[in-house]
Amino acid sequence: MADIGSEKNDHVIEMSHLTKRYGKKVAVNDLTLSIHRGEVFGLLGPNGAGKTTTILMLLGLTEPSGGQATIEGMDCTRDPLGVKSIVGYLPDNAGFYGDMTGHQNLRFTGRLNGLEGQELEDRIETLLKRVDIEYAGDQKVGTYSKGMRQRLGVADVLMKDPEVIIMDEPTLGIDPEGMRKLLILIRELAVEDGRTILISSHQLQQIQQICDRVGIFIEGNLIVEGTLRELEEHIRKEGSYLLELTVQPLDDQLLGMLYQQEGVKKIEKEGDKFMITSKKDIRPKLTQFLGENGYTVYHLHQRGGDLDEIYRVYFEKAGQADERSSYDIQNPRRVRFGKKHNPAVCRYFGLEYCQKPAGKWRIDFKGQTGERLYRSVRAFSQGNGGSAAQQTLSDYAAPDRRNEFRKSVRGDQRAVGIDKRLSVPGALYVQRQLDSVFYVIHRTAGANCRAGAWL
Amino acid sequence: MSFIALLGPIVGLALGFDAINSERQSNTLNRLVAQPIYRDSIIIGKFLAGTAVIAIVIYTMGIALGAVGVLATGLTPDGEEVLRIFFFLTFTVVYIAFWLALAILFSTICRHSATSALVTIALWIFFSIFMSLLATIIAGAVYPINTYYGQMFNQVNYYTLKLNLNRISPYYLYSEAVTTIMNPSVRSVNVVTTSQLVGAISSYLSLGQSLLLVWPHLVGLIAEMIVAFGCSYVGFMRQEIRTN
Amino acid sequence: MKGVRNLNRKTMWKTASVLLSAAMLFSSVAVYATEEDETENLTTGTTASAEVLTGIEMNTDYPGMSATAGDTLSFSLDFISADGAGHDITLTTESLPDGWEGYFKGSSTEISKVHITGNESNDSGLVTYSLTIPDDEEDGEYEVVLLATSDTGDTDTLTLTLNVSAEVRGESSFSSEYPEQEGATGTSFSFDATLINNRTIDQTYSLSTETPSGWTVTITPSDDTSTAVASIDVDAESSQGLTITVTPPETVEKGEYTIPVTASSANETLKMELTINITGTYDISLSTSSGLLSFDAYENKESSVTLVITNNGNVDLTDVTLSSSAPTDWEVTFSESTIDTLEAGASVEVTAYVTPCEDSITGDYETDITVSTSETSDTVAFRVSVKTSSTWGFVALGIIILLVILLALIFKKFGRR
Repeated sequence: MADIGSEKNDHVIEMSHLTKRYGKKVAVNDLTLSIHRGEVFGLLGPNGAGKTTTILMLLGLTEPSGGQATIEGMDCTRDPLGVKSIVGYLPDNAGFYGDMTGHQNLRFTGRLNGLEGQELEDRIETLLKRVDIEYAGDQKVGTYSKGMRQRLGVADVLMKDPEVIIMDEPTLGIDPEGMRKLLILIRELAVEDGRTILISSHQLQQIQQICDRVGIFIEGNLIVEGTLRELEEHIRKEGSYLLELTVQPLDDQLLGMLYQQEGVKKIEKEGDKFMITSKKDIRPKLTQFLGENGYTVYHLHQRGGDLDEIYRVYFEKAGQADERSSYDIQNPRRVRFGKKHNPAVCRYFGLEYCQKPAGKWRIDFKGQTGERLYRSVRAFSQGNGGSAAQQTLSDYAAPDRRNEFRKSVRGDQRAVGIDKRLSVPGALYVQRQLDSVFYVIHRTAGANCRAGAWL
Repeated sequence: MSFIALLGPIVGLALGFDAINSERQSNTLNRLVAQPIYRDSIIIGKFLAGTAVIAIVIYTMGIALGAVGVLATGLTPDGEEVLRIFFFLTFTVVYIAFWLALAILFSTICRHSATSALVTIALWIFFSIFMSLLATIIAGAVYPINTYYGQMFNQVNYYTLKLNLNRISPYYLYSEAVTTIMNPSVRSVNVVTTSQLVGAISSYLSLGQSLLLVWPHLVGLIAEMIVAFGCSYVGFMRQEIRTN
Repeated sequence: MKGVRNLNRKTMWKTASVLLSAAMLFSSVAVYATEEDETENLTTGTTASAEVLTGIEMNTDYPGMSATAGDTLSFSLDFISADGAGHDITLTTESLPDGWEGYFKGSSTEISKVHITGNESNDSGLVTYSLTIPDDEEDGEYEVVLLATSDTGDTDTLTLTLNVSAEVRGESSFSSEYPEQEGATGTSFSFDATLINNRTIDQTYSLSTETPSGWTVTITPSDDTSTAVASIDVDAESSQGLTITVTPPETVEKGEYTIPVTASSANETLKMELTINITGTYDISLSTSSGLLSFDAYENKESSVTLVITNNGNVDLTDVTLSSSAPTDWEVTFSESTIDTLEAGASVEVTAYVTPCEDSITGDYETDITVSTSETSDTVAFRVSVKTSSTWGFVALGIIILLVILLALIFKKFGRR
């Protein structure tokens, strides 16, 4: 074990090949990560991605199935006491003993950390002041509001004057003002006090404001980590460019061209905007095309640098990996819709309902917030442009649900692999998104339209 | 003394039933566990604190009652009697501590404190009241004595089996042990046949002999306590402390 | 003396024959003559010559007597005057054995003459002849001849025959009323003896006994039993009572014992034998070497008790057997259940092994052990305290320690995190 203090390593927290398995399920998969002194690191990821498990392993509250984690040189599993004496942990929904006052709770924690006497009392006072709940120090914690409790939690964490602070969802459920103050405080702790802070959250905006570096967890894997800049770069390197395009007129031709572009991964529609995800910057070619063909560009914006985006991208990436692994895209299956509701298809795609009444396809699915949305898709006969169909897609969403639909479309997006066979002019590609399904509506050379779904 | 045997467990139960799950419920447990203390200090602390309370209550009550007795009757107990009372009090503490350990065990396993309380109460009622009925039924089934034949041949076996089944219940163990210790003329805890009484002279047993008579009971009580606490310890230590 | 006696005898026979012949002559004459009175004499050998109408007669009622040496005898003399007239009679002792003393006595004075009135009734018992035999006179018959001479010249002789017996003579005696006594061991025997000094002189007797070893004999005067004497003075012709206490030893065996007691003085030695018959006593007792009648025992384990059997009697006991009565299913055995012979006073040690049965409950039980012979027996009740073996206590401790160790191991494995 490295001694604390003699060799102040710049890497305060080091995790190497950290793994945790629960039976067959892998909660944390081969995690290797280092956190530097004095930085604020954000752990991002959806629920169940393994963030909390990683934190537990860091604190020695869970035994890793493999790998090692050390904080300041102390092995987290073998020397948990040493680790806990320099690491402050603020869990989400931190509870206190309701019928003790704030003072008493802090005193309890202080005693557990070996403080006593006047030093203890002084520190309690100082911290209550610092987190701004001095006025409530002698009230029972049962009477505190959530914000006050959170602040008390921070004070509690600071009782032991820790070098490392780990916070789990610190901003959840806090009002904006409180959140602001909290974020300032966290920043202070890192910058002024020189503490290392690890925050786990999925409130991306807040994270963005205070984190130096972030790491994105998805299903147990650390997909990427680095500063925001780095991630942006990474995305770009990976070839994930996101272009916002508002163009008139939106027609098949454009779409076809877009799809033909090398590197274009997927195209979504958001209101009147196209969101084009591509591997590389297609602007040069696109602008040229648009100009040549007389399109009017209303909006053209290359997105990036937004944590949301990054998050999304990486989710998609991971989603891709998932899809790839879980579905056999080499052999796309074509499924027919029938006049009646086809439960097998629905199950397959995770739909609630699918039906093709005359001329339209009706697809019901669960929205992000669980409500049932449906899409009505009209097939077009030969001659109609894909854009019309695209339009139809959005138009035929339940009118009152349009916004949610859009929101649901925007979030968690994954692209279906593009099958080159389908890149036929006039074909429309519909994306499958996490909680909504769009089907490829394929217009064959023939009078009748068939709709099918490809995975 | 059967009063204490019957109601003592409530004390242990009340001290222990929400030991761990209340902390879990109020989300203080994960904060606690993140402090630089050994995790087993938490559960050991709960157990020891409860036991200390029990011991203080019992010994104080015992001494107070003893003092009242001396004042009221004017008789002072001699050395051996004092020792007997001391052992009685100690067993009472062990007995109630067993129930404490059991309550803590269930508080570790069950999520809600109400559940653990109910489970422990159920066990208490079972052991105190129903165990003897169950023992009678089982013994009656194995060695029936409702026929003349049965009565002739099965009496001893019936009673012995009933006794041994009853002894699974800590309530019964405690009652038997304490009766033997407090009453020096009790010479046997098993079924006594008349042939064993032939030639017997009525006399008092010394304290050492009384204790030797009930050594299995004592060991049983202590063992049950240790096992219950051991299980709750293992359970607690192996659990993951998560907020959800 | 013999010569004197012989001489007397001869003289007596001579005189007798002469007189007899004379009497026959006279009587025949008298018969041929006319009526004559004859006076009969009542004793043999003595005839009184009766004169017709003259003469005197002196006779006594019992002219022949037995006497003991040393005795003084009195003969009451009757006189008959033949003619009925008063006469004065001179009395003399014609012959008297040597050493003998005799004199005539009339109303307490010695006389030599007596006056008879001629009235028979008045003349009877007028004179008493006192005769004293010397102490050392030997056995035999002796004659004393008395002569009465009247003033008219008539004479009469009276011969007294004395038969002197020797056993009445001179030896002292030492005897006991009950010289043979019987008793059991442990008693002392008391004999009342009388020492009679029959001699005419005071004597001092020294007393001695031949006592068997272990016996003690004490002789005390009867009237003063606190003083033990080794010699005693006894006045002449008197006796002394003595109490002889014989104490046999404690361990005396049954049998007859004779204790000769000797009282010896300068002149004589008197022996007496006392016999004591010690009756056989049978007594046996049972105890333990420590005297403690209780012991501890454990279920199914042998406990031993050392018994001591003592023969307190004075007879050897044979076939001494040990038996026991114990609670159900208990086993009691002895190192020797029968002893062939146990001498009187001897003790023997036997070990009893008591094994309580498996079922015994803790506490006190009673076990009786009896030693008996055909004559006597003894029983002792033992209090056996059955204890639970304290190894169980250690087992209990061991189990608890094991559990604690187990708990400590669990602590180690899971704890300290």
